Amino acid sequence: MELWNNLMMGFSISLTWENLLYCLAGCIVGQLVGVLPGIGAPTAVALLLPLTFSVNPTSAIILFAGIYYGVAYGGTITSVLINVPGESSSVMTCLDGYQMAKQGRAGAALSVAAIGSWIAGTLSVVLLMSFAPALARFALRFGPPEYFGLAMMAFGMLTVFGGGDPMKIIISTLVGLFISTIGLDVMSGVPRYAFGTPQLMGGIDFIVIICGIFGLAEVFNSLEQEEERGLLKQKIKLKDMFLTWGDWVASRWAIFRGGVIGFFIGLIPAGGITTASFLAYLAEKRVSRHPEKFGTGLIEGVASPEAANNAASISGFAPLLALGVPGSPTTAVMLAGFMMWGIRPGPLLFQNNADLVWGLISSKFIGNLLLLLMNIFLIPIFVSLLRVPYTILMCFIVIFASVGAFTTNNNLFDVWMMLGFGILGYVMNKIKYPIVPLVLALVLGRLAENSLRQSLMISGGDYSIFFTRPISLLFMVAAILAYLTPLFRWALKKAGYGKVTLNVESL
Amino acid sequence: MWRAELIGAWVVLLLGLFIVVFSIPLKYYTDLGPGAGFLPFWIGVGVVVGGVVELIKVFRIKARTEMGSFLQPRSKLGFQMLALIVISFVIVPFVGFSVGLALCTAAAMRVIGKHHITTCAITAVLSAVFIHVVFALWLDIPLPMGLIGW
Repeated sequence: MELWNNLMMGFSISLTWENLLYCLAGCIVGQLVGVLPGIGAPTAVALLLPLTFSVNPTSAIILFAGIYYGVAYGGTITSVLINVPGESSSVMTCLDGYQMAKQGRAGAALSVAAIGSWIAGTLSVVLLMSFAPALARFALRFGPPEYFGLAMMAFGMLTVFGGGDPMKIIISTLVGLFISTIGLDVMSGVPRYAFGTPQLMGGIDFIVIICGIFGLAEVFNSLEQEEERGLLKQKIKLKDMFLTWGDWVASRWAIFRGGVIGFFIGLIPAGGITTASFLAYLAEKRVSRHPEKFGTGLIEGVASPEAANNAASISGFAPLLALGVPGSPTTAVMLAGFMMWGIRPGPLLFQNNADLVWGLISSKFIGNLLLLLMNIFLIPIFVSLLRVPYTILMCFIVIFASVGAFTTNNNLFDVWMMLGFGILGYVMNKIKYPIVPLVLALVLGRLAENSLRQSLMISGGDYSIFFTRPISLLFMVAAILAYLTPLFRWALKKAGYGKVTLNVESL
Repeated sequence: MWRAELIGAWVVLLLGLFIVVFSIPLKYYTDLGPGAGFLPFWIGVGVVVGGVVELIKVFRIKARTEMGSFLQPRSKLGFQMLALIVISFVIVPFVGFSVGLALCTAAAMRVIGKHHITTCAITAVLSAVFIHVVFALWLDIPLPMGLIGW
């Protein structure tokens, strides 16, 4: 009953004209970002974040949530029509989606992706409604050791799900932690690594870093890649968008399985929507009666990863809202937004800002419905956007990133700093140092350091405090196991169990 | 690319040393518990270890020539864009934010996108108006105005 009342309260907020418009705007921007290769959800949220300083936080977070799950829908279009994923979470959709399009079934592929995303998204919202408040109640028991353990687990999970060189992931995480220590130490007031520069005393603003490392770096990286926009010359009519009974029978369980997998992967800090779609595709292939046909244009191969990435994009809000720990780069950027608006996500958010939490959750029902309609009736319009020259898009990214960096403190120092981080992001990408761990560590750095120091103050310097409290112990064990995963993988490989990684090539 | 990996590993190692060296003047431990230098010191140690491991890995690579090149045929475009951004940031205090970034847009469209000069000019004017109206007037962001007041 309480759940129902909260949901109704949420709808009374999300159904106001203002919030409906923000939700619609978020869905449209998310869809556009998903369609256009070379710009991702974290970039879009990072670039728009500084512009919402004066906006009501509930409306702003509804807008950003719309962008986040809108991207999961939009990325499908390019995967199906040009075999280029608009987003990394749509990589798996290329395998069967593009084959379906080549067989003249692009409409069915896009339709099953939209319907699957909607069903899984709605399922995920229902689960989130029940799960997030329970998680928040559980998190009320957390003290500094538990928060430190949680942060360690989040960093550790990056080595499991990061999909790159584990040592580079660890280095990237440490660099993010280092950047978070720059500026005045919160506890002692001592300046660290500021070298007398007044602009560095308050630390490097998160927005400056993400505008550079996501926005500008994406411009430099995208310019370097060859444009491959071989759009299939196939007209998609409205009647092509309706699924046949056979399509529905073939995809219904794939959607359900993908949705459930996506929901649970989204809950894991650093799990991410891309991992969810990979695992859902793998699982679907494993349970299929004809696994050899995957990659040849099977509708289940589109339904499952699309359902999973949408479900994960929604459940990813649970750790953010209930624990204050982001599960993905986009939610990490949103966490910075919460801090900017003076709101601290965590267990108390459900009590102190119930209107924001339930307004956001209820808006997901509305946003998913809007996206379903958009993806069935407005596909030709979004397809036509693929013809926009990248140079124009690139210039707008530069403009938004520069203004975004400037607005943080209204000085040009931050704009130059943003440029520096743009170059850093470009170089890191080139030599395959992942950016996501740096961003996650940057966001969680203060929490990790403060809770570590508070824990050691409580225990009088005794490190066993992290291993003698059950929840903290659980997190620390999970973190240690996560850090040891690369060794397990290496040992399995040596023992002849093949390559156990999350690479497309391994599928 | 092998050389880039090597330089990357050295940079990581030097960064780690930098973090450790500048964490030493900060208090490692106080009467209350860990001080301001506690975490930075261990971060630095971790980065140094990471840098050393990366260096060893780089030196153990046998197929160095098969790693490809750091610079791609289209890298030039990225550097051109970087140069245009730097120039526009340098001129912003004189011409203002709107005009500076609009000029960057026009130049990027011409140099990188090879668009017709008229298209570039129109886009530049529209960009300047967009930046001024949306950011300066509507969102009330105090963007640097420059000598012409835009």
